Amino acid sequence: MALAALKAQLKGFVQSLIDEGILDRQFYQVQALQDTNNPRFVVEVITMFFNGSRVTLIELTKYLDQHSVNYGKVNDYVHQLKGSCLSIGAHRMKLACLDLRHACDGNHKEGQGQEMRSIQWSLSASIEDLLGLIKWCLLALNRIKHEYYHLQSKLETVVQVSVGHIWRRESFPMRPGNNGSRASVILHLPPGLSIEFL
Amino acid sequence: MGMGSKSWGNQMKLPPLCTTPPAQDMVSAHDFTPVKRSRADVTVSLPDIDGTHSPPSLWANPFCFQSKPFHLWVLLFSHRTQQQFNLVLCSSAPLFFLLLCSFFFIDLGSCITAMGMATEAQFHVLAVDDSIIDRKLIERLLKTSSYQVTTVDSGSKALEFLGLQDDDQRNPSPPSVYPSHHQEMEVNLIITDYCMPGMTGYDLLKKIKESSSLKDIPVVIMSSENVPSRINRCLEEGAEEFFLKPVQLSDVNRLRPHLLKGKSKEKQQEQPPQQQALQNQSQEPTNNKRKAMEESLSPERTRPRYSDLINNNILFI
Repeated sequence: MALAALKAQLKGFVQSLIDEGILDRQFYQVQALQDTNNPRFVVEVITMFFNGSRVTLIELTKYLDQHSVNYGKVNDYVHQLKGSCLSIGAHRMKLACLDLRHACDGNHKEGQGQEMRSIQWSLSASIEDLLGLIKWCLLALNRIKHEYYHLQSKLETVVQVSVGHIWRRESFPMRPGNNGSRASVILHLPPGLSIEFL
Repeated sequence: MGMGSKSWGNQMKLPPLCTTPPAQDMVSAHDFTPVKRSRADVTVSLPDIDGTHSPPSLWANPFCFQSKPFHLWVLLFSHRTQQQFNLVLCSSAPLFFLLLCSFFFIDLGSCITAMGMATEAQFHVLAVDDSIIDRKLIERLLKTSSYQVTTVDSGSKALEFLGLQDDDQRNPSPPSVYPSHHQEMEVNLIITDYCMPGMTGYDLLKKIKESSSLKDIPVVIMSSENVPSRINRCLEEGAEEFFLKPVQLSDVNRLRPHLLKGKSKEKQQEQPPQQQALQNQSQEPTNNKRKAMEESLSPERTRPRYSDLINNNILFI
């Protein structure tokens, strides 16, 4: 039956995302928490994740754009974002958050053969050092945004299919001979940010 | 390098949504007349991940037979999600079949379970986390394991929630925010995130262990970072467990021994006598409740035995 085929297709799609590394097995755990008493669970969690991440990314952009960057705040926001990615299973986005975390700590490889050193709190940090730090942080932030968009486009599919399921189940519980001529519900996820590349 | 466009280029092609509604797998479509079968052929199909199976009934494993000694008709059934068995005994056959039919149509069983549940132990867990996603996940995880859950987003709110219980014991003034019937609001376990703005999980743990009335409540800390010194510090301060995020169902199962230990300690402090009211051959249904729970569970057992947690409800008609 078409519904079972759709379900199988969704499963295959999620598995392909896991194979690609976009999602990890935590997403299966999230799906497993959904049951018939909570049919909207996965959709709600995904929506919550994108809403929260969007706000966090806006704040991160704001803080990294300033003349004197408050790395403490940036660290807090990245930690928050990383936590959300971890909970939902957004693997690549989590790795991008870790990159930014490392960049904030000044632990980034500046070139080949150079040791990792913590620039941030060094009083003798030169302008070049600080600019380099910001550059790395911004690059890392852009990588996070790139992963965010990528994840959003992939998970939109999951949401659409899930919402279609829920909508059909609730609207047409037991009516035989019902044709699916009505379009599926399109869920609009919040608009993303524009990416600024240096 | 514009990445803003949401292109569906290499998305999977979705077929149009199906034209027929999903098949109904209602359990009630089975007959009761052949009583002497060995096993009921009714099983509840557990809902799939995205819930395509409709749950047929709250009840699983109905098993009926006629007991030889007293010619009593016996129906045994269990609740689908709760580890609870219900037993119905009836002396007369026609009444029994009437009961069976009404059972599935009127859901009399839920009345029995409701009666049973109201007096059974319901563990109440307080979850503290500043992240809304983590709160939602932990709430779902705990509810899946049949715990009652309250979530708060900060340590101070948690203390407020617990502290009101504290205050109420000392002075009888009713709280402004929370309901005054604190018997049901008793917290059996606190699970908290470590990194929180303001009061961290560690601070909350310290405050709880310092309080005379709250220090016996088991506390579990969660964190997304694996920092051994942090873990040791929390365990030394008195945390029962330290979970690494993301928290899994297997972690939540590890909570049960701590909860049961807490409950048994409570039982030793105040022993209410168990009511045993049996009425044979009476028209009035009586509920005879008996806890088959063993109170000595070793802490290293991660999964309590199913038999330990069967709460039997027996109904005599």
